[in-house]
Amino acid sequence: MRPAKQNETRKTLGDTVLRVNNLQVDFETPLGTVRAIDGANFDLRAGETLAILGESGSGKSVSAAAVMGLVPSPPGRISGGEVLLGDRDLVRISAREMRRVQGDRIAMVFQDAITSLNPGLTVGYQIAEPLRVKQGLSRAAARKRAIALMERVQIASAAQRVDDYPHQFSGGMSQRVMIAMALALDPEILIADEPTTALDVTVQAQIMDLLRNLQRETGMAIILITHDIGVAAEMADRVAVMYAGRIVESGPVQDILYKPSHPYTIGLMDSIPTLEQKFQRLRQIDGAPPVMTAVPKGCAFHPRCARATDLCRTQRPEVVYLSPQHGSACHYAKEVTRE
Amino acid sequence: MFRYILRRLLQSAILLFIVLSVVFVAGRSIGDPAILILGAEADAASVLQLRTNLGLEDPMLTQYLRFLGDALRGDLGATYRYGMSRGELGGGLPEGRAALPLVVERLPATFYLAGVAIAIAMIVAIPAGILAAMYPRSLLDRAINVISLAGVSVVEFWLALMLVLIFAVTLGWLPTSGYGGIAYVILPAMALAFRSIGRMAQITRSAMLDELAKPYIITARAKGLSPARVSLVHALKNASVPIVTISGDEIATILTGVIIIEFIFSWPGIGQITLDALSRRDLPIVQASIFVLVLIVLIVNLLVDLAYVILNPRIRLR
Ligand SMILES: Nc1ncnc2c1ncn2[C@@H]1O[C@H](COP(=O)(O)OP(=O)(O)O)[C@@H](O)[C@H]1O
Ligand SMILES: [Mg+2]
Repeated sequence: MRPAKQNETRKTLGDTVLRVNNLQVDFETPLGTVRAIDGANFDLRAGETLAILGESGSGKSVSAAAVMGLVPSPPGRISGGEVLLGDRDLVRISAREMRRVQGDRIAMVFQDAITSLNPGLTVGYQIAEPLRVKQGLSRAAARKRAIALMERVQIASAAQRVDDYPHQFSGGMSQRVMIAMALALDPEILIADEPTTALDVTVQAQIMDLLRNLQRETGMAIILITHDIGVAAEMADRVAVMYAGRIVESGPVQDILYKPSHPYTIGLMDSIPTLEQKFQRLRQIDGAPPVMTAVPKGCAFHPRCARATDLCRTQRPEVVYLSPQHGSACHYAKEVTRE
Repeated sequence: MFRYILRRLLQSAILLFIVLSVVFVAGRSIGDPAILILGAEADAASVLQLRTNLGLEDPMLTQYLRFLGDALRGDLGATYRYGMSRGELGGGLPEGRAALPLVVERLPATFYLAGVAIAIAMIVAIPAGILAAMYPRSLLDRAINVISLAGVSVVEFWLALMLVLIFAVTLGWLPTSGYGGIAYVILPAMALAFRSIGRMAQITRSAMLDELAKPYIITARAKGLSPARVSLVHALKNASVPIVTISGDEIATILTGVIIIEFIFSWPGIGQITLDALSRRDLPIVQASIFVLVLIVLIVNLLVDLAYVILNPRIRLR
């Protein structure tokens, strides 16, 4: 639709399109200030899929909200760091400028598609809305585009369904509608926050296939947020593992899967059922993730880590690079390996 | 959808029937109509004569069925008082005009006043409620809280008198009472709308706040839509159901509140004739007014139901 944009901003695979530096997000709560994101670093390259992997409460959604300019305020606030899109810091631009980034350059798909769609508006209206509002398309032209977008996400008989309301769609179909809506303005980055968690397994696989195909067609970069290491393994080019508001390990998916170098990542790997283990008890990481009001000093993971030392209890680990692409925020990154 | 509307129509018909029955019973229990007409000093023979002529000596059931039949034909009896002197009544049937047309004649004046009051209430309250929800803790948000609190605690009667005192007597900007153009309608309409403004603004505000906290709002914001569009298109579309409900309720409240306000401002509407008739014990007029007011409220409720159907796709498409 907009060839100019593609020529300008669709870079060859590998260029960094988004860089998050030392991000900090605070929430004011009755129990005091909670630092939900505490110095997170990650970057995203054109055309790739980056999985952000972590347990519930580790800060994945808040990171996405920070990138999208959607941290709820109050109680939330980005208290430090940068989100660089090209050479612009999204943390510092005005709300008006941010609205030209939202949907246009970075679009987002949410976990629960059913509640994330407006129950009072037709899906066609919701898909076409950015085209009408931001590109000034006529009602008829926008409707046509909405149907085309619905076809692109493989919604059967799109022309008939365009005037239906969200409650007439299943969870999987609603998620397809969400994806169609996100694609409307042809963004360079798509953030998908646990897009299949609310769906059953077969539908899950279909949505993941769809995302993969759309990425191939459009060349957009995807940030795929998930708590499921299997999904990350299957979809991602690179993985960033998040724990207590920080990225504790990141690197190419092969490195994370076969050479994990952070005890937490190793724990996650061990909790995957394998064929032999199918009837045995799974190994789990002992303990629970910290409550964000009481994050342990030093390395936040140390209370659950078998090899924690006094150093871990007092000193926050810096990222150790095992290869130019593969980093781990563990004092003993070079020594820990999965046996 | 048509079945839904049909069901609502049927319910309204049943309700109207119940109201008519209550009117019938109430009418018989206020006192003997014959004595009401002839006065307490009338002799027993002429009272009996009038009772027979009025059909009051017939069995209750016969009277009831006759009342219902007449009512269905729009005949709610003839006035005992209007346009006649007591002497003319004699022992025969009252020759007064039919009550219903007398009441219906007053409707335009009542609709004029109530219409202006409803328009004021909606035009002020709904935008104020929406803005208060968009800017929580703003000055407007606080003002709405104060006004709705005041609206709940202030007696309409007192408010009307205060308005007259300030704007008519002291400032002399507006006439104290009477029927006429815009200058005459402002004070009674404001007195009538005041309480509704508070309640409608409050409900609008909380309905909007409820919707603005829902996940689909984040989706709308993620699309880079302006705050105005997020509120006025996305949230308002879903908040419209409670807003229409409260508007319907308040229209009904205004239509009943109009009685006392018309009396205070000498506004020649249905309220004035009703209070007049009450003080003169003119039962048919009272019955006719109640009938007309109930009918109007039922029609308002039906329109509100229709609005729901239009606003809520989950009802519309069932
Ligand atoms: N609205 C909020 N108010 C207070 N704290 C919040 C809020 N949203 C998120 N948090 C904090 O941020 C942490 C991370 O949340 P989130 O990013 O949603 O986790 P997840 O990784 O499951 O997506 C939570 O554990 C919580 O402490
Ligand atoms: Mg989440």
